[in-house]
Amino acid sequence: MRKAKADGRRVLVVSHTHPKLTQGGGEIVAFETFRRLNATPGFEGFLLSHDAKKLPVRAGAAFTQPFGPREYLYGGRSFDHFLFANPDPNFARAFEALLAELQPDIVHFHHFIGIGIEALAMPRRVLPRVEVMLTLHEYLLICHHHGQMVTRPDLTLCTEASPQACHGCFPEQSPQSFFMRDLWLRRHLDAVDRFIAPSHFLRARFLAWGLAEARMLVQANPLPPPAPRQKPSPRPPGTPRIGFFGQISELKGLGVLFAAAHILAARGWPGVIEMHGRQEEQPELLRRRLERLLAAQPPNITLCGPYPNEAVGGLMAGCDAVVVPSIWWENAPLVVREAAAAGVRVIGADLGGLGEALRALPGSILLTPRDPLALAEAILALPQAEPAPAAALIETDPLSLYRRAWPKG
Amino acid sequence: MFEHGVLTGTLLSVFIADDHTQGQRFIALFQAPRPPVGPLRQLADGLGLRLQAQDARLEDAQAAGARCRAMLHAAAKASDIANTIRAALPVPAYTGNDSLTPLGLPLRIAIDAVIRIPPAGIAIEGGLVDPMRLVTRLALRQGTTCQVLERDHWALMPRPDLAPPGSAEDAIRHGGTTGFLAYAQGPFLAAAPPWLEVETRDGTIAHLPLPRPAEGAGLAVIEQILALPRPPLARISTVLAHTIGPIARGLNRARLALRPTPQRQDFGPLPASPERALIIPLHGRVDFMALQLALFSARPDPGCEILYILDDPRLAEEAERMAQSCWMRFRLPFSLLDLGAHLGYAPANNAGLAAARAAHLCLLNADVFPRQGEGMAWLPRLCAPLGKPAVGAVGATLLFEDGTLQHGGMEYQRVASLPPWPFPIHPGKGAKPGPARPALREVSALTGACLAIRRADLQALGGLDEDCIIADFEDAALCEALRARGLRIMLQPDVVLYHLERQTPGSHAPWRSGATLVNASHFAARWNPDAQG
Repeated sequence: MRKAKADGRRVLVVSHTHPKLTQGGGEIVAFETFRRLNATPGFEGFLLSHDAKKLPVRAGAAFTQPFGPREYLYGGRSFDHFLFANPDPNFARAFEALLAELQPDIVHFHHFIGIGIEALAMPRRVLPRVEVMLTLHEYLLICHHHGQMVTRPDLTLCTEASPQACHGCFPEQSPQSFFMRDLWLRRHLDAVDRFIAPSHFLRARFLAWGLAEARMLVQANPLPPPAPRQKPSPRPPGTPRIGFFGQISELKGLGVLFAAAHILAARGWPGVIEMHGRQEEQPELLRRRLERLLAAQPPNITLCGPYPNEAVGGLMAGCDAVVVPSIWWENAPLVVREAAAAGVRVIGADLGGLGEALRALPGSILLTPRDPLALAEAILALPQAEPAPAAALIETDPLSLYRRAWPKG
Repeated sequence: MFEHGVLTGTLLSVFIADDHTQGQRFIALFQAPRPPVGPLRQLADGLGLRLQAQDARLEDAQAAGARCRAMLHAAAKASDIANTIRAALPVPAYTGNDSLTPLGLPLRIAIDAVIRIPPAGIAIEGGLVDPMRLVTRLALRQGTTCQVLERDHWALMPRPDLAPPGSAEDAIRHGGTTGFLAYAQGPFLAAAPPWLEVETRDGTIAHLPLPRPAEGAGLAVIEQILALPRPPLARISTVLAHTIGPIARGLNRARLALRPTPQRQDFGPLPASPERALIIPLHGRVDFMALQLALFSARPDPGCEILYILDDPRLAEEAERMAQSCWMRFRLPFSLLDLGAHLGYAPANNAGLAAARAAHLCLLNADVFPRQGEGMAWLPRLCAPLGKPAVGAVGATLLFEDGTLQHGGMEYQRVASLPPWPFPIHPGKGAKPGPARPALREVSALTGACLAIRRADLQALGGLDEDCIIADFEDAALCEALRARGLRIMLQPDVVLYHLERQTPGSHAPWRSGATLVNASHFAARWNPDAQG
């Protein structure tokens, strides 16, 4: 493991957390990339993840390996979420040493939270010929509001960041602070050879933000192989069942869904809407809004709580449709691909990366974003709709990225 | 001619008042070798003037002195002769005791602070309650040194504690109350306690003992003095020139005389023989260092030594941590000089000057940043014109974060509601920069936020003017000093950087605008370049 094989490509995948610690989309994709690298002849994969503050800190040891010999965990606690900066001098030292030891041909960042955006510029200092890739999972680089590009506090859709506009959302940060954030981020992004956009929509957003087109590539994220098809749980006949999967949050369209549920109840719809997912830690503003929403929970909504990721296929298969009423742009929502794999119809907002994913999935129903009436009527009209399409896996070869020799752009 | 003999001597005389009932009055003063000589009979001079005295009596010297002073005061106009007479009048001897309070006058002088102002002056801060306007003159004495505390020169401030709002009686008792700060230049001795000589309208002189002047030169005292209410336009020049300016500068000099030796830490291998040096003072926040070094590291200049000067002892630990972290993250070598005190912009740069080895220096603010991808490539271009002997300093185009102009050379302008002092202003500030004018051009002055200069020239000038307190005007003063040596001040317009300007917490504190005024008056007195408007 110390020396590169003559013919193999060595890839170090870097991620903000590990699926054994948290179950978000980014870490699942990063881990899946790492897994496939090591399952594919000609590749060797390594994984460096932040520990998401879930593991005990080992004093004096920057990186630990609790999960395996090729998996490194970093537990630094001094991360700056405004600049994505990691001032921990021990990280830089340990990362440089790791790069020197592993001698990767490619360092593929799936995230920089916890790790620090400065890390993007470090590989080439140690390994002048290394290629640096960054997969963009949302709009964090553009938008301080959790990368959602919706305004604060009123959650309207935003199309373009600027120091003044961002200061409008965050009065506690001056326009100059946002300008410095921008200078800082772009300085480190300059070290990236290839940006991977999981959707055309996200690519367009980042091109408009100023990333070089020549360095930008669209490729779908790899997903873990689906669990063996599970039988849907038995269900009373005649009761329509609509599923919601994902984070229980207003940005995922909880307000729209609740309003639609009230309309459905008023129209005598006999079904239930089952919400599967976690109420993750949210910022104060969103948490308060969510509490207000949940206080007026419609009777036809059932909160089912979190689910293990491998159970999603079975849960979806038991639904007549999956709804994705998000009110933010989304990037390349995994829920659409999971529904496709389960062969379930998706009703979703025609918005950004979500609209793009729905258009690519035959049988999907696209709605005007933030329109509860449209959502309610789409659910009412379901029995008359065409039958749902057969299960389909949307896949590209994630390793094709590493097979190409990219011109330096 | 007196009853018991004739005295010959110099007649000091002044016609001091017209009085319709009694005619003109005068004071004649003789140095009498052995009084008493009896009542006055006649005054005569060599030219035939004869004045017969009626009802003349020889008074007690102190009483006569008081009467004379009262007459001099009533004359309203000060003149040399009046001053000569006044100086010759007998005054009661100072016994070390308060002789004012026993007079029982409706008058109070509260002394809050007596501060020694280096090199040999004294500042007095206090309050004067004088509803009957009895006090005609205050002087500071110590031994034989006597200096009048001219009321026109005082800085005034409200003293509600001495003049409580309330009844009409209060107004009578407390009217005419003011807080004051006065300055006497001396020379006064450090060891002996001074006293106040208080003269009232009837010519009486009383004494008020003062404590021994406090020594000390902390920034807090200077800040307090600079935070005093701004004097009205009619008096601001006088008050700044005679009171606030000399006090603040005197204390500042004393403070700077105590500066500790800077502690230097080097991060990374420094260039062996640097051609250029960046001198970057840090105050208020140190995070700018991370952004600057990150941006510089995109295109390093191996011929440049980078010197950060920490002018903020509160941030010593944080700066050290940040420096260590920056070196590990960006691998761009630099040095950190900790001044160990908050000295101000000029002393900080002068510490950098002392530490620098390169022939060309660039004074740089910590909130000046290169454009994306430029790294340090702008620096050799900025310094290049210094190769010409006639060029003394070179500046750059600086932009705000929104792309509008922050600096493209400075000019001098008067500021409305202030005396005709030249203030450096930035023409076109806030405007979208016009079409590029890439040619090097001469300007009146440059901002110190980004200014290239030969080390030899700055050394020859003794560095930046440390009488510019904390910050402001040292850049303009530098440009004027260079011009006085026949050197030209140039702008290199196609070197473009961002300058975010005044991002440091505390830069809006009230004492800061006081410092600006003091520095403006100092700059005007020292250089007085032509100013518009």
